[in-house]
Amino acid sequence: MRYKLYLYYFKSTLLVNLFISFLFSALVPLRPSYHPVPFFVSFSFFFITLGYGMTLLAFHYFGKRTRYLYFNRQISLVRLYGYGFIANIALVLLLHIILKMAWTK
Amino acid sequence: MDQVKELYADSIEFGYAGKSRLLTGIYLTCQTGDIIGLLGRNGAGKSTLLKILFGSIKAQHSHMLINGRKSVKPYLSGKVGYLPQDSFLPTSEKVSKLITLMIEDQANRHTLACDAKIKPLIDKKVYQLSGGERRYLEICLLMYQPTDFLLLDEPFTGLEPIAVQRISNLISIFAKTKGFIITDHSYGDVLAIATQILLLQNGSCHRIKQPEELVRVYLPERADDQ
Repeated sequence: MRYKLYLYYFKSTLLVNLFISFLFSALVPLRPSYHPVPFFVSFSFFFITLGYGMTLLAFHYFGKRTRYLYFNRQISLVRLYGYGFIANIALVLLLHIILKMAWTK
Repeated sequence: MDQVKELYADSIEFGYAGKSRLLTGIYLTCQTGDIIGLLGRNGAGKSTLLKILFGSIKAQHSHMLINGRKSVKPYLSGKVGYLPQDSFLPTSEKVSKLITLMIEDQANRHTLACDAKIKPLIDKKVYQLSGGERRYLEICLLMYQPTDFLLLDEPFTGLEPIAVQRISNLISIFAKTKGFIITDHSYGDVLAIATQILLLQNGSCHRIKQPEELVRVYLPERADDQ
């Protein structure tokens, strides 16, 4: 049942995360790409590192009050942030697969 | 016979960096059925002590047992709930969604949704609630958690008398199955429901056996006594 809170966290950070990630991938294009479509590499890299990292910092700073919502359901910040990181990697992989399939068609 | 459920804390020592010790060797126990009123002046360390008991702050030294089991972060055991001083609910969410997020048991969810005070609020967002409604909702959400102990930090502060009465009734009802530690500056409301009174002073807890003792050690001197 606690998965609902994990999903809630993921949903509430996703838009900010996507925005920051797109911003980074657009402003700082990565050249060391070994894929014919640089977007795949740059987007993935920034999405799972800088994008999530900055979202997490914002959440950590501004969400000091709401963290008790999670604590009262036995969810520690380490678990929550770790889950968010893994969920982001899974989302990036999914996007990667979808885009790759669309590109090769 | 049911096993006695007990929150046991001993030798709690805590001080913020660069400052003198705030808590020195705190000892307290709370069993289900207890309503412990924790009183003390501003800055005495009441909120800090509750946070340590909950596990969201780490003490320099502590020994805590929850139902006989050693616990470093009690909130992870699922046996302790905590109501912070400030509202912890996300303001942009609807009451109905928060009930779904927070309460696992469907029967409890239904009971809470049908509560006479909650029912009219069910489709409102948290920011649309008054201070009293929000506090009542928060306490209800914690009451229906499968915890054995609840730590309430200033549940009555800033509330109108009718809201205080409503929350006091709720605490008295749930005290049959849970242990409560309540801290509030509205000491009259705490005294009205507490089964034990502890005074936090000079870093340690003193048990107040007679409410009259509070006059000597906690309450301000009356002008006509001077």
